[in-house]
Amino acid sequence: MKKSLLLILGSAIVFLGFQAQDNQKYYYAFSEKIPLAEVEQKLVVRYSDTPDRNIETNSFRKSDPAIQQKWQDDQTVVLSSTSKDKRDVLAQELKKSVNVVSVQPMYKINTGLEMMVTDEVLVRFKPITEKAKQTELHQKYRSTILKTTDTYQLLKVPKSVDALYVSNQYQESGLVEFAHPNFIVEVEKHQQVIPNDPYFANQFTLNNTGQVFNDGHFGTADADIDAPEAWALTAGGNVLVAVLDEGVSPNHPDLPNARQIRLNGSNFGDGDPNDPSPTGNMNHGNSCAGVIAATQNNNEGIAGICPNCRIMPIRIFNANGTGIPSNRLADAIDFARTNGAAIISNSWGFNSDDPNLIPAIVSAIQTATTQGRGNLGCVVLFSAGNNLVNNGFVHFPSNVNIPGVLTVGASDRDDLKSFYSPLGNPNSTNNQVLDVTAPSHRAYPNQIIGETFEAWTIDIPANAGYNPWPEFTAGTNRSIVPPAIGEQLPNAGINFQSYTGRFGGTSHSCPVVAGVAALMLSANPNLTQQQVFDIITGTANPVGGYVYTNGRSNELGFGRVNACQAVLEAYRVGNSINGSSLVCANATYSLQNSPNANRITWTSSNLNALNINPTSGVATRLNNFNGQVNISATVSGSCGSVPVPPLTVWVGAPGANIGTLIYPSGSRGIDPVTLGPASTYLFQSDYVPQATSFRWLLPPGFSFYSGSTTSSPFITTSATAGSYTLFCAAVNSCGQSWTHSLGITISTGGGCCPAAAVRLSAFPNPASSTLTVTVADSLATGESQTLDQPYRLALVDRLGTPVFSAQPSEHSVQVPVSQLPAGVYYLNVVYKEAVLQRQVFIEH
Amino acid sequence: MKTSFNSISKIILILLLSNCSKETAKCYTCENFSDGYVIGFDPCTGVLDPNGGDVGFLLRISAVKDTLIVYKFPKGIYQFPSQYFLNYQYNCFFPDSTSQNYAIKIKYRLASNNEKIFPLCRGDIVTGSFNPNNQIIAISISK
Repeated sequence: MKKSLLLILGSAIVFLGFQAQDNQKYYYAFSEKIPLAEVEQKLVVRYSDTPDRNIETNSFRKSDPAIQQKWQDDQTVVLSSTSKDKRDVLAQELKKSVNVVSVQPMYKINTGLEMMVTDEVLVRFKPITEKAKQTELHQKYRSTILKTTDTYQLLKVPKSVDALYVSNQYQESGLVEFAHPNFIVEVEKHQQVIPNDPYFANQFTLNNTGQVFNDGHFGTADADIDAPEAWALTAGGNVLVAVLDEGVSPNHPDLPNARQIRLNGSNFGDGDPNDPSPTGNMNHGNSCAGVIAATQNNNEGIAGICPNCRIMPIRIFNANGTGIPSNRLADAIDFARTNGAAIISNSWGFNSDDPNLIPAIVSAIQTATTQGRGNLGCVVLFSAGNNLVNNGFVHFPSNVNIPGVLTVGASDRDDLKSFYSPLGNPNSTNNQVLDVTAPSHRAYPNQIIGETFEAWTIDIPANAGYNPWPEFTAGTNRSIVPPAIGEQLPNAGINFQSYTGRFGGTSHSCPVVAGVAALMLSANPNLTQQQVFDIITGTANPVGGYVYTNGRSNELGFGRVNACQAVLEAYRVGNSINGSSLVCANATYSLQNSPNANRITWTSSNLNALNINPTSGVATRLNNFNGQVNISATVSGSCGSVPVPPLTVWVGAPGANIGTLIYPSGSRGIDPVTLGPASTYLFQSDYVPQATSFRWLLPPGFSFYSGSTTSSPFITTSATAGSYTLFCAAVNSCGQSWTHSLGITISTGGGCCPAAAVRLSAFPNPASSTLTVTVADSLATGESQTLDQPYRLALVDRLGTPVFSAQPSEHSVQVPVSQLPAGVYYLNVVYKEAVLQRQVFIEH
Repeated sequence: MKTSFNSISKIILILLLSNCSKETAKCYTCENFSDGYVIGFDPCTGVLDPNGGDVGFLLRISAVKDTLIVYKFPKGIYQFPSQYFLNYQYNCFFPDSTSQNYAIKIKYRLASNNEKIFPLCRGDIVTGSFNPNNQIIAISISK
């Protein structure tokens, strides 16, 4: 009884609280109040179970026939009504529905960001809040705990209770660190490009959001080719796509002549041979061309898949719709090839499954695929046809036995095989296989009642074309009337009737794939047509739940094409890193085939040696490093990332070091080496990476005979007997590095002071604190501690800079080295006419 | 003995099969005559000018079970309403209510493979509604 009373009291508090709220809504971000404004025409509806969308759609339309809906998930829909009043009426209706647990206005914060509230609340209690207090709060607001993590508790409020109000009450209780509705907020998709073209929202082929079409149909989100994701990588370049069809309108508002290559002789049908324009209402060529290359982001019409590419219209139909003779078709294919088309898109065929039906056409295709595009091969695509009786067949020439020719079928708005798209038959002797599919309409009106063309593209301006659909102007004697789709697009203005939503069949799927191929060739113009085929089929998504044997299904071939993955792969295949192979201080790297900005991530294999900015590709040498480093690049899109083969670069001075020996030819490793006086020897250095020249420091009396800056000079020795040291540095534009020196003993010869009588020693070597240098002259002093005369002593570093010098007379001198940096040094002693040199090492 | 029996069986079987082949072999020179009706058209032919002489027509004749196609249909026998052709992309048949409106008498022979016509066709047209190999050559057609 007491519990019931509490429950009633709690409900009353909730109810009163709900009523008492003023118009200014807010939520708490910790303790800060964030104002929320209602988006007047929108509602957020949450269901307890997954509803039947068709039933719900009908229900929504009773209140507002023009209502728009967007399903966030299986149980949450956002409704956009045409007025606030209609929205409010609908909200009242929905609240009565048993299956609806919350109906909320759409809220937005001051930046315009829309925040959706459902029936869920997130809270985090303060550590000091006792469990009993938490439970008390939950009971007060009848909240159910759905989930508890280290970060939050997810609560569910009862049906029709305002989750925003409840979350604010939790916050104001002082018991929580935070409490706010479990907002659904659209995550910004930076890796997509959503164009501003007004009809783009209808192009489910390119971006299927589950949008509801004007005819009431809706598809499955992401059952599309991922075009916006591909555009984040590239919007395409100057790729020329030939469209063999009914011709293309000149100066279409979404396909200007600047992006058409309208050549004399490109009309193979009747009429003016130099005018490839369509006649009458023949819009099929426009339809295909618009799908491939309509202008993007011009606030006009639709978005083409490769909006920077160019179209070469080639007319192959006569004015009454009949086809041209076979030889002329072969000529048309040759025309495309010889006039520079990279891609030949063919949404046509013959009602026959014979892959060799017309040999002249087979031959023209063969030539295009092998000799076109500078022998890289034209990419040739054919629609598979719409023949599905008794499983149908892939019509000619789509079924030609020519490697790399793409046979394109159709999938639908749910990633299922379109009704009319033929089934492949791998056991057929007539090459009855599909390669890929691309989305198109689901079925013809006589195949599935209520279905019709639903792909959007361009139409003949100010001309019926496919707009309006003839059925609507001709009336009535048909039993099947396609659903209305907005028949005149637009229905007024300077671009009157320039667009249509009535395109479909495998005719639509073929240019979709042609557009993807155009993006790929924009990304990598060096791909062969076979590589394009392999990438498109290899990156297609095996959707639909069909049986894929060796990657291929009878229904969809290798699957529904994915533009993003295909383009990404095009950036991987054959790509390379451009930039200097030598870094002295800084260098900038780029890709041979480079995607849009910020789509490349640069890395260095040795961050202590060469830092590289991950986005700009500017590399900086660090720590005076000399050596080899690998630079890598990764191209990333929202559909994945691909590595580009790394580039090995040299950083700093050449790679000579203490292990690099110099020596007279044939005497490697002998040190000191004994040579004859005044004799010429071929010297050489071990291989030194990145050395562009060599700098040899000759002892007194030595001279170059030839090749003084090479790795193998001829050097003439001194005529004077004695001990000498030869030095060598490898040089590049960054600096120099020293090899191991070489002691040379000249065995006989004239002069005042036989070098053999003078000995120089340094101990210990390596030294860390004190280096004891001893010069002994047995001729002059025997074992005495004093020499006949002072000698010059110098210790120099590897760059030749003296770090210690003296002119002692004592034969033994203590040289302090504890303060010197570790490394290689050279001890030089000049005594009488003898020059003595030793390499010493300082270690700490 | 058993081997001989097997051999004889095989020979008989082969002879039977050969006989079957002969029975189903088509005669491309044999002329036939039949009554029938024009019931539709090949949507890949000149449907934008349906009475212009380029349209291939679908026939149902009493002598043959399958739908037949005849190209080079004589002009002027019938003037077909243009609205019958409007939805040619998916509908190649005349309205059901007209199924006996366009009666013909036809003298014909079967088209050989070399004589068959496969018109160029756009990829948005449904082509599976009839067998494109069921072609006949019309020797004469009249109402």
